[in-house]
Amino acid sequence: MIHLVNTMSAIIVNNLTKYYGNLLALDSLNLSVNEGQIFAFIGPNGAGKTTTIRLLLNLIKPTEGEIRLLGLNFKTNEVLIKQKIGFLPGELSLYNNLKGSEFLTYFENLRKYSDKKYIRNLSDRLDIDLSRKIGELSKGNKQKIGIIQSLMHRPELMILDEPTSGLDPLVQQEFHQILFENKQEGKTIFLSSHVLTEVEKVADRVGFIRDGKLVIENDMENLKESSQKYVEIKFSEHIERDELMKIPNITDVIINDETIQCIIKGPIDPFIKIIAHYAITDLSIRDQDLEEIFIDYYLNNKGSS
Amino acid sequence: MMKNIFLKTFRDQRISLFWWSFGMLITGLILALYFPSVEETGQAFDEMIANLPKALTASFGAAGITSLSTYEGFLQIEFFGLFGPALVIIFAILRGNDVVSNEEKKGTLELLLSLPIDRSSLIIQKFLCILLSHAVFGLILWGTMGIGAQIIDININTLYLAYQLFHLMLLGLVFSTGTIMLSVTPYRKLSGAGIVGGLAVITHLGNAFLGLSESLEWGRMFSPFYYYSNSNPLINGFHFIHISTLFIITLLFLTGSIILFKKLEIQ
Repeated sequence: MIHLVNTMSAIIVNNLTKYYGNLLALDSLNLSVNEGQIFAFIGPNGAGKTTTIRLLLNLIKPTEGEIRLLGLNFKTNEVLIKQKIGFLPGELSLYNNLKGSEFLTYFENLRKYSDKKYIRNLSDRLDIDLSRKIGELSKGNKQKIGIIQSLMHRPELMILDEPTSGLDPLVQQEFHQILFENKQEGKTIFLSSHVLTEVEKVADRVGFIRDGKLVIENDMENLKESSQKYVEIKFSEHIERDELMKIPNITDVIINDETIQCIIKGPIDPFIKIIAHYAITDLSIRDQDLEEIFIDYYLNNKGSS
Repeated sequence: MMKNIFLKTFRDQRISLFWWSFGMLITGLILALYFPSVEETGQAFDEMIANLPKALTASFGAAGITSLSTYEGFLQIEFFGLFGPALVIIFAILRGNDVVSNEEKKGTLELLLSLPIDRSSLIIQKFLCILLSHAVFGLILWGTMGIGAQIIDININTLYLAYQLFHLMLLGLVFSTGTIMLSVTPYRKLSGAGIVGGLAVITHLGNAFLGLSESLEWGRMFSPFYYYSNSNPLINGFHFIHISTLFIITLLFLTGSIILFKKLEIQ
């Protein structure tokens, strides 16, 4: 599948392949991320997430394939592209001998863009003291400085590898709010994360990668709609198993006295219509979360590739 | 102080540069102050040198030097033959290794290259810092060995001393850029700095010993030490071809570093 060049796409990746020696790290990846979208890139360790990010930054070269960021390619516009992007690496290393403020000033100078007011705003919101030496800071506080440097020049595209790693829940919440604000301003965010609850909260679109291949790419809404529903019902009377099994897309039925547990795939309407004939004392219906969708997919397809 | 990579690199290395400069200052002063005592017993030293095997004097980088009783001869044997080049080359290799290898090992190169900086600019700015350090060393040594010596009534042609120091600094830059170039190859994990250090020893000994054999003397032309010392600029003055050769090798290594760095996959 070839993604056509779309003026609304912030990231277009066509047939991207990367070998490390004989090892295939990325296999014909095709990807398109629209402007103003938060795209989450998830997958198990060693799936190819970091390789993809390093290719997007032109830190490593593709064996095959093409990348266009914000309509530009690295061959002719590397410096221009890098003016427009903000990057947070997964394994963040900063200059430990500098103070937070000195580090950010250095990066401002190298980017030739300065907005002290925005830096102050970000540092206040993320609750970080920039007057301390980076080497004396905790992992979480270093991560905050990493986040600030990736956002402080108001980039059009942010590429963030595990951005909330080491952050406490309150700061994570504030960071998500900052991401939403950037999205509202039309900025594009490409993030990789292991924290699927976080992805579920912030992403518009999700890509699952496994063994160097993109196995799912879908809108978060669609994924949720097509997800399974976990149902637990307590009846005040006995219910026939055969009656339940007439319901389409019902699986994993467990009947324990007057209580049943089951999973419904697809529309829930036929299920509701049948159970409505019985007296119900308690009912709980829960959507499958992203982690369960991912694990479900991963386990079901593990041997198939 | 941190307007660009050049100034940041200079800032990071300022303490190290201070101590290296201090060491150079002390070395230059000791040599200038020590010479009068050698001069008095110069004839005895000269006889001793004349009786030493040629291979031994060559290994000290003192082939062709016959007199310790002149300040030039003394400086050749005590400093420019072996100690000075060793000092400058160690510094040059260490700093050359800092340019890419250390940033990559510390993990900061990834972040630096995500910024809108051309890769060639990164190499050039860091190289300029090395160049500046060499210039500072050259000036300190020239001030102490040349001007300092004249203050205590030792005669030396300060222009020729400047030429000799210029050769020495160019020799340092050859090894510095050589280290940078090896540190940006795909095989950089095989210790680029170590290889350059080994090459420095081999090319020094090659230059010294091949000179003892008429049939093998041509081999010296493959050693940067030949262009550093063979024209003996402290005695004979400026040697355009040798200086140009060292300059061109430096330029080639620098250009090679830039080309390779542009293709480098960051680990």
